Amino acid sequence: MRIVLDNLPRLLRGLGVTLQLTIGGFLIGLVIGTIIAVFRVSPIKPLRVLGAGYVAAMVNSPLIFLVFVAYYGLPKLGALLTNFQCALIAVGLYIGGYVAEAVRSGFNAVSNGQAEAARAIGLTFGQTLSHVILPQALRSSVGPLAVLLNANYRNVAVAGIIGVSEVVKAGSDLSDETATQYPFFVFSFMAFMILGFATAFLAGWLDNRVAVKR
Amino acid sequence: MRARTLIVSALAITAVVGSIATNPATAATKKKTTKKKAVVTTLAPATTAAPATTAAPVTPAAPSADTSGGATLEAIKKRGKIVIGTKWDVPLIGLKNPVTNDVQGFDVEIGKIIAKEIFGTDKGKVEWVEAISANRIPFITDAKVDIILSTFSITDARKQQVDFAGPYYVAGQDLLIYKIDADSIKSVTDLNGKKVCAQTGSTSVTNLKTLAPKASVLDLPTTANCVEALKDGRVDAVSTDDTLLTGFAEKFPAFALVGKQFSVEKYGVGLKKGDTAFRSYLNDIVEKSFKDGSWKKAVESTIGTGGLKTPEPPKVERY
Repeated sequence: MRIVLDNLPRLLRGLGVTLQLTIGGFLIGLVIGTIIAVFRVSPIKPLRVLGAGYVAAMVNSPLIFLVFVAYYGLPKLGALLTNFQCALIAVGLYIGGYVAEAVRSGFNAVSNGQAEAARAIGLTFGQTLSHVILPQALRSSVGPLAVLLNANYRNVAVAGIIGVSEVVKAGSDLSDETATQYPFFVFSFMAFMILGFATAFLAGWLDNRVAVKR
Repeated sequence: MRARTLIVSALAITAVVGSIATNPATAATKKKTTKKKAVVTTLAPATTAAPATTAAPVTPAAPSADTSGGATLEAIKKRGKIVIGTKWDVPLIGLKNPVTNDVQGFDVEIGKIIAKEIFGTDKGKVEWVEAISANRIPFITDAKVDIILSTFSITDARKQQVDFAGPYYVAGQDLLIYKIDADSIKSVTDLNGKKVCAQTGSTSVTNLKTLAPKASVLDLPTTANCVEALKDGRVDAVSTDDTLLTGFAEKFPAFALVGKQFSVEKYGVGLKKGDTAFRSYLNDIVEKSFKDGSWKKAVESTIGTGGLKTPEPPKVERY
């Protein structure tokens, strides 16, 4: 316990990096995922194919692969980003595939009659989407999105492999340096537990507040 | 309609995978990815192995047994093979040949000498396991391997968790840089204000932090990862033992070693703490290899080809 307190600044710094990566990556994923979900229901076929292909690629590739591509692959194309930026991009692209599925399930939750009614009063596809479907779809996907955010806390631990000092790596570095293995892992575990519960609680409250009452 | 969309996306993915496989740069990245996955899976149990570090070691061996090797040797003989952890990604030290699946290098040769002594032959008597730097201690405490031969420097901190036979080689930390940087990086102190990469969990990281406190140290899982980072321009230098770097300098002509050792790294044979009988048995083998020329042959056929001169064999430290 003492050893954890002695090294608390480094662990908290690691926790800060974990939070930045988790939330930053999730926001990127939210933007990408919503766009891809719209692609998947759009009337233009190439966009639908692109959307389906993106989701299939992200859902079926290990995150670690994307991290490696961003870190060792991008420099070969002339883009030399810091290891934090590489991790952020990889996490964002990855979670985007899952967000797309969550939002699409939200689309499915909006009954067909609404889209038909919107079309009947002369709204275009874009108007139907932005005024009728999307607001309701996003509200009903709060639950699944929160689960993704929660999973993302653990996803970002992969960033340690390219030298990003997030909380798990900070802990395992300290284990190496001090030749004590347990306390730092217990710290990471507790941190994940607290973050996970807090997120789930907030999401539950938000879900209830924005729910489409029918 | 739906089925067709699926087929199209499946084709697209196949095309992407195909293009990755034909591009050597990304193919290398891919290879590393699969390796890292293996590391992650082995790491998980390793963390749970912590109690083994503190628990009293079980060694029923008689203290007087100087060549008997004790219970560990008996167990190895009974099993019919010895499990040895080495590096798999370092040229001339321990490198897995992807075609033949053989592991080759100096540490491997030492392992073969030990196997030969135990079984009379090394053919089919060794099970090679990949042990990256950060996994060496957990692999021993968790009994995943019998011994570690993975450029494992003997340090007091490590002696609290594992025991060492040997040393069987004395190396020194050096720097691998671009030849064109030879004027700006002449010694380790020149790294202050620059970026340097070293292997996670190795003594190289701690040495750099003391000797060049103003350098920014990036740590990646393997030396090969670090060399990749040097190629991409992420760092100005890669630092680890000269024995590990010489192979990379030979492989990539744009790189060179600075040639000023700034640490003493005594490579030991890592084994379970408290296993005195087996340790002294291994020490005997190492000493014997110094005398009968097999050690010299191992050095010359591996790290010697990279340009390192064969040193005098070190003195085995029995403690």
